[in-house]
Amino acid sequence: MINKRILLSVLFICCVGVVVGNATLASFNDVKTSTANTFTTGTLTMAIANTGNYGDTATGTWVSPTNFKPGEKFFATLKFTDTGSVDANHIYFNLINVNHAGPAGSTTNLMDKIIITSVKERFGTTTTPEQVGYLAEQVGSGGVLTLAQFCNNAYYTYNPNTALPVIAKGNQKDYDLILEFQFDPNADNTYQGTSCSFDLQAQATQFSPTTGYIALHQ
Amino acid sequence: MFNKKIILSILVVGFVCTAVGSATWASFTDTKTGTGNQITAGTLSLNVNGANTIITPFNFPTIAPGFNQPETVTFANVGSIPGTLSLNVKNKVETPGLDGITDLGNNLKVTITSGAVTLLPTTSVNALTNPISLGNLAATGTNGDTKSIVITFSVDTAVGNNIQGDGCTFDMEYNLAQTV
Repeated sequence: MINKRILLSVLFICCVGVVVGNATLASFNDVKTSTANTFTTGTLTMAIANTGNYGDTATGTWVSPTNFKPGEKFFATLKFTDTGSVDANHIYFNLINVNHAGPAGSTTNLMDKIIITSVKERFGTTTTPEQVGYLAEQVGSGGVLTLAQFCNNAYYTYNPNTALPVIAKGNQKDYDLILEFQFDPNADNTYQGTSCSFDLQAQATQFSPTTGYIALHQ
Repeated sequence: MFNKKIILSILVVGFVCTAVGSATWASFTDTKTGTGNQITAGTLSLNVNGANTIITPFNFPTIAPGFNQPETVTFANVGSIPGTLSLNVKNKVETPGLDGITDLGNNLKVTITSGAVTLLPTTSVNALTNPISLGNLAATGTNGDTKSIVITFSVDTAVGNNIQGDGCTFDMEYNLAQTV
């Protein structure tokens, strides 16, 4: 009889415990969910060309005229476009793999006699004024900018209209670098048959620090 | 005979007891009835950006290093019970980009502020594994029944090409729970 009462008491306590427990856990709430918030990165892909046939693997090679001789000039244009979905606000230029060659035993460097006579840039429909004098000052060349001096520095460019990128997303074909080279009219015969070469490495970035780089335009 | 007397005596005692008992129980009484008593449960209902059902999700299709996008989200407790608000990021799915690796979840950062108060320091989406407390919302019609927070999504400028073309999708669950 005592055992039966104890069991009933325990059962009662348990039932009360369950009820109290439910009362503690239960409460009102309201949930709202914004589903499928989506974040996707864009791409920045630069293509170059000499004449208009842009490509991701184009070389954009400049070649001097055949039988290039003192006093002769040629234009060299490199065109840029951004086929990605993110604007590029800076393009950096580094001159690498700079080489020269001449007759055996000669130390003649043709780059000393290749004068850059014009530097201009096209940003969309606007072409900058002549920048060669400004660049000669920047590289400390005393008014004449030789290819040798030019190759000793690194450069960057940006859109003079700072509200715009240098190359805008969506393949706008909106930036050209336009140089003119002249074989120094005063070059002597020691430069006959010599050659020089360099790679112009261009890097498009969204934005980057410019310390140590010379702006290609004022 | 004896038994009959005993029985009669018991009956008499019984009646006396009954009479005394009745006299003891009787008292003055007065009764009043409060009619129409009613108990109604309160409500707890959350509006997000003015909507109670569908919340427009964020969609940024071309983010890049330097991305910094503050978004204001406004909450209103349109119920009658105060609640505690929290945010839970759920169902995250990442897709790889050009390098074939899922990098965006680690590089997409979230910061949450309410006025000058920082509710969530800058944290990567991948690290948002626990509910984020956004504070209290008072019952409607009282001071504090609305609240605005600013959720800033960002990608550090130092992040490189490894995130190009990556994707990251997730749900943002806002929960207004009864303040205990």
